[in-house]
Amino acid sequence: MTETKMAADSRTGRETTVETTKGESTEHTREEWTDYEFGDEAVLSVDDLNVYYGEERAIKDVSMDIPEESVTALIGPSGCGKSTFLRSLNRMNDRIKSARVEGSVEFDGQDIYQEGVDLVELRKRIGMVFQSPNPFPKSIRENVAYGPRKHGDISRGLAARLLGRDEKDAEDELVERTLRQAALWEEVEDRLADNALGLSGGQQQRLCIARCLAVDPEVILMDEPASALDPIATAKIEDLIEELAEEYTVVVVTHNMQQAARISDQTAVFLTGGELVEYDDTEKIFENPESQRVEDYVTGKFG
Amino acid sequence: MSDAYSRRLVDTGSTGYDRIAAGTVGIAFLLFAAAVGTFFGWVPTGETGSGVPGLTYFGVALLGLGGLVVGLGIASRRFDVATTPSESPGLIASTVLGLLWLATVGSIASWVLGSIGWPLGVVVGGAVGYATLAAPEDLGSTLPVGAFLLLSGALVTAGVLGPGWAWESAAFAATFPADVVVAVVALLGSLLAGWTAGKAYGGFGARGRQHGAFLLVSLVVFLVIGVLAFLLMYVAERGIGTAVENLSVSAGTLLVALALPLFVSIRRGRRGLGSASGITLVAVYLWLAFAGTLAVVGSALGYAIVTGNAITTATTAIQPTATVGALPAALVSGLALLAVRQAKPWRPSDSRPRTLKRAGVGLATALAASLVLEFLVGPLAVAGISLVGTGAIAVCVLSGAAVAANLSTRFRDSPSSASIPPFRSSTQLFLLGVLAASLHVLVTGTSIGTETVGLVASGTVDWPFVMNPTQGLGIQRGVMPALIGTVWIVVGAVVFSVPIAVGAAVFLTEYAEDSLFTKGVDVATNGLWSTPSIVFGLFGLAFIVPRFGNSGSIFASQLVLGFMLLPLVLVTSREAMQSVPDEYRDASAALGVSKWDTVREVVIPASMPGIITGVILGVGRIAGETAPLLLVLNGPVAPTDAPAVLSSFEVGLTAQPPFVSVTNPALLESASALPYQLYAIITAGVLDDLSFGWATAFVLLGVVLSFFAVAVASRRYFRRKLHHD
Amino acid sequence: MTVEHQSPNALSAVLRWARERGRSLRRSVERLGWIGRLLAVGQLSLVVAAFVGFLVQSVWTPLFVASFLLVFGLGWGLRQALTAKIMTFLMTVSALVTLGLIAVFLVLESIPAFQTAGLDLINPFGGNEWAASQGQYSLVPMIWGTVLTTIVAVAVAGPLGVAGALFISEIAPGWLRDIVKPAVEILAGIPSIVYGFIGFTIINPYITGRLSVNPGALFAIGAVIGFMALPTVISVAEDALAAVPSPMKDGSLAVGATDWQTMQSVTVPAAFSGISAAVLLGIGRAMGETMAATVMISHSRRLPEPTGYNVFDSTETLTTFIASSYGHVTPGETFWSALFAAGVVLLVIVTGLGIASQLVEMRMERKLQGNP
Repeated sequence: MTETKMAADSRTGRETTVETTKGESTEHTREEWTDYEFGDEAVLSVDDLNVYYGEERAIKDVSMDIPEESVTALIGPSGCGKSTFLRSLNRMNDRIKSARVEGSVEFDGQDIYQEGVDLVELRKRIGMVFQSPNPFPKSIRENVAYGPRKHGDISRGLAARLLGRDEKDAEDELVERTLRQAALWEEVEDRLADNALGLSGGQQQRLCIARCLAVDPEVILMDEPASALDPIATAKIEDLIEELAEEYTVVVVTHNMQQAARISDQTAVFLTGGELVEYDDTEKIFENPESQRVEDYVTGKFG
Repeated sequence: MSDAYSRRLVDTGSTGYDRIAAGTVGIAFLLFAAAVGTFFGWVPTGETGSGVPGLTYFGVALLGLGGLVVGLGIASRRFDVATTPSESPGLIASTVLGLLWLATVGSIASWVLGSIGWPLGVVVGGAVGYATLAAPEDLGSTLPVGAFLLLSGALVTAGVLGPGWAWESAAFAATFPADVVVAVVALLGSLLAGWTAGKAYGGFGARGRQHGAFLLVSLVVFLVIGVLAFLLMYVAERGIGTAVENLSVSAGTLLVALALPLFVSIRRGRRGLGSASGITLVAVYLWLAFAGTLAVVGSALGYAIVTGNAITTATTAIQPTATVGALPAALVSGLALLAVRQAKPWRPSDSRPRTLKRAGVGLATALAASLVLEFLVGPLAVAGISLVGTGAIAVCVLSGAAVAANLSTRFRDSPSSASIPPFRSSTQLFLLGVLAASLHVLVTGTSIGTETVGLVASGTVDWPFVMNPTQGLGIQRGVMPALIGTVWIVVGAVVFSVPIAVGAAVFLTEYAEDSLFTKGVDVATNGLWSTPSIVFGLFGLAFIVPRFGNSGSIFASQLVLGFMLLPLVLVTSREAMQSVPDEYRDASAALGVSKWDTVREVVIPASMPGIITGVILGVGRIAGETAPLLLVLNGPVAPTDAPAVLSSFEVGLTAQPPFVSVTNPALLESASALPYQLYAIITAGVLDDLSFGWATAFVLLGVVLSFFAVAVASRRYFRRKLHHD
Repeated sequence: MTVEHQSPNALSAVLRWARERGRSLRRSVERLGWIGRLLAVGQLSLVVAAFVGFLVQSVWTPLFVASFLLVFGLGWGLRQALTAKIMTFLMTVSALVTLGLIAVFLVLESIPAFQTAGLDLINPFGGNEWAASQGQYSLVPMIWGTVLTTIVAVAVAGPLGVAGALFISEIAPGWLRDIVKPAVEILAGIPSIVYGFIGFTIINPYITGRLSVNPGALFAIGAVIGFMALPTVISVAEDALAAVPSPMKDGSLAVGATDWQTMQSVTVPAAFSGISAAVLLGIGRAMGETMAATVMISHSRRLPEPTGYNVFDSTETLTTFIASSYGHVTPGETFWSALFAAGVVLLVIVTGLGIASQLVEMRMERKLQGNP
């Protein structure tokens, strides 16, 4: 018989479970709960990440590995730093003046926070979809083709036409492929030249996903992608995420626990103060978490 | 991927290529600076010491740049350098380079061949543009630019564009000598070279284009700032000599004037010392250096007082007297009172300190009341000893004692007794006493103290340029009439238009809903804001002048400048009121307070900072306006005295309509104003040497810029106060 | 409230507004007691009477003003909220009235000139000569001078202004922005007469000496005016750029575009209306600039020679014409009236530019909402 007792170390505040079995006692520390063992390659490897906004620490000593071609969900109560953590994976926090980052995030064997990192290249390979859909005030086609056009992968425009290098067909093919991937093609195929701002919220968000897919990233970061949408649109986005995980690595931040339970393969639980408390298979987190705090959170006692 | 080389996630650091590109940018920048220098005559274009005309160096520089640029392009294509050029330089670059070659070939060919040159230029330009477009980016961006630089460099070095050559343009009826043409070509060439080398530094491609674009934009901005700095320094340098000629100040007044900046800079320096940020530390050291300089100056002044030697320069003098002028003293103590803010109000609980506090408050109130009485009635004296003067001195002594006691407890590190008032309160009382004393001296004209030490009503500052009229027998010329005129006009404009503008802002923000009416007012405000100043002058001429004496007058100028001030203050007040959060209004309404009372008690006080800042900014704008004054003021070029407005008010009842009359003849006369004076100096040609004009420009600039400085400071002060709340 | 759709009939919109206003006015009047109504009527009528009296230069005006002040004081004591509302309303109306007055009086004074010279005043194909002593009144040389200097000025202020705005809002790091922004404000604050003084003493002699032209080249004047209009363009354009929502820029960066590409493809197009408005306002400012030009220019009232586009010649602009002629002309003459005609031309063009910039902004706002 094992008895589980919670004991809080008064010095460090770390929680430990003390299991006593017939004279044996083993302590599992929080590090072990976040030391997720999985068989696949880790695409992103975060090591001792700390993010400060001015003097305030938003992310505290987070280390985790994100496996490829799966869905990783980041859950936790609002204000606990999930979005900050997500944005530090593609260095979007650089946009905020007071943000400061310590620690490392390894992608493709390189720390993305070292000197001389090409942000353009980084963000090509790690894409992001935002909480509120933010399409450009341009046509649907121009929205989707924006990334490839800017990277020079597809030549359009007056100059290309003068030189006879207009790649309209390649662009058509790309637009159709990514809009199908984003499950939006059927709804917009006959109005690609319309202004993207005329679409509904759910359609705009899928357009943003298509725009992200068009640059062929390896990782897709999604910051609460369905929180601004109605239930039907949310369901479509969730289906989309599961499909995308077959080809891409998806990291989703969500405050909706049921959503995380539905769509993700592994879940990381952040609690107040930017702490990563537990990171494991989704089933384990929701059915039998190690930490009492996580159990309280997923059963709805707080948050 | 269409990029020629695959991109790496991490750059391997700067390579030789990068360094060459950076060096090219540097050389381009130097060439640009040198070309600018020829316009000022700082860089010689004629004969230089080495026997080679200055222009040739420009030619050599152009050649060098051309070679470097071409080299950068070819190196990127042929050798294994880490550049990522796109397929094409893009439409903008090819258009620019096409036009460049169009102009070059066109002008050279038309010079050599006649009018067939320009069509030839069009053909060549078009060809170059197309070729640039079709070429890969590293070649297309660099080769046309490099060729242009090499060509122009060759022409200049070979002497074709050398000294002695000039372009005589029939169309422009002007002769453009070689050094002007070469300088312009050098400017253009260095800009192009810098842009291209910047692109090369970024490795071409999207990143390279960003480098090039940012370089150009930054250069443009620094140029503008440079011109501004040059302008200010030039006016100061030319004007300050005449402006401070024969200025004589007493050391005491100067010491008192130094006290406030010294205090502020020490406090600023001390507060920032703990900060970690680099830029803040630099600012802190600057403040401390400033404080140190002031301290040195102060001790020099003290030394002068003690030894009795005056400090003189060629034009100014500092008298070694310890008398302090009443006006400067009042200004300084008033400002200091504003600066000494109390962090925690002093609320003593024991009886003795409470009595002390009540005594202090009572003294202050009594002093203020007697001062007002003295202003209205006349000097209050008992047996020849002035009440207010003695009272003020007593207050100063008492509070000074309290301050001393406080400081001594601090130095001795012993806990301060509860019966000694806190530092800030006693300092405030002390400053109040000084202020009262100075105001008393100002009002009654009697001085406190002796000949060598004390508060004097006047005579401590003698500044001829600011205090003398512009014309008079045997005196040094000054701008006092113009200065006073500007003051009155501005005061009148503010009194006239600020209430109207604030009232309109209140109505538009609080009472009016978005409707046709408000849209009409928006259009009208915008129209007023962009109306040229001369049109306001015409309006004054047509509408106001005929109704007020039919000739130029101060009053008409006040009204016209008031109309100009109206849209400025209206827009800023509206913004200030709109930024008052609705929560304040909702909270007030929830308490059952009526709308007008909410506006009066909540909205207007909360938006005061924005309104005040807007007014100060607007005043700075209209203080420098000349055009309307030309038409509605029409004053004398060299006035002999200032308008005496205060003493000319007449109010009376008459028997005939309109039964009530309020007039001020002085307002209906014409006068001069600072900007108007400057204009008169230029056009009337009355004064032979321009140094008076430069000094006037210097004073005008000083007045206007100090308004701006005050507005910026007040905006920061209020913003900080808002954040602390 | 009914939704206001774009009714093509402006007249019906005005009528609808008038009807709504009338209804709400009737409601508020019903709520007042008889004191309130008396006070309101008294104050409004006295103000109107005073204004009319002032217009016709009646002798009774001070009496109206005094009685208005009396009734105002009474109202402030008895019905402060009502009085405050009426007063602020009157103050708002004064903004409208002022602009109207300016237009009306300028036109009134300029009518004699139009009567004498007819449309020849502004007709570019007539006799473009100004010779007041011989009865020849044509403003065309002055208009053309304004056009030339404005073109040069915009060539300076337009690109430099947009570049400066981009620099301040997008490119510069925080500490540099804190230096450049106040510097631009200082630039805006320098009085134009100071620029004129510097132009008169430094620039004119330099150009005359180097290029052997008459002093006061329109080119130099245009450059100075352009520099003066720069802060206007920079501040309005910078406001427009700062108003572009951050998520839009984030979306571009997250896809791997560079900052410059984001500026070119997202930020500047989104702020385009504001930037155009900035340039239009800069043009208006350049056109209205008086003192710097007046001091530098040669005041020869003719078209540029030998070619019409010779910017190195020195002629006259509308503003310098007005500023320099006053003092040599008596009220009532055709010359006097021609000055006002020049003012009318200026006012029309500048106001037109202002309206154009507002229309551009409205159209762009519609596009940002998702309509073509």
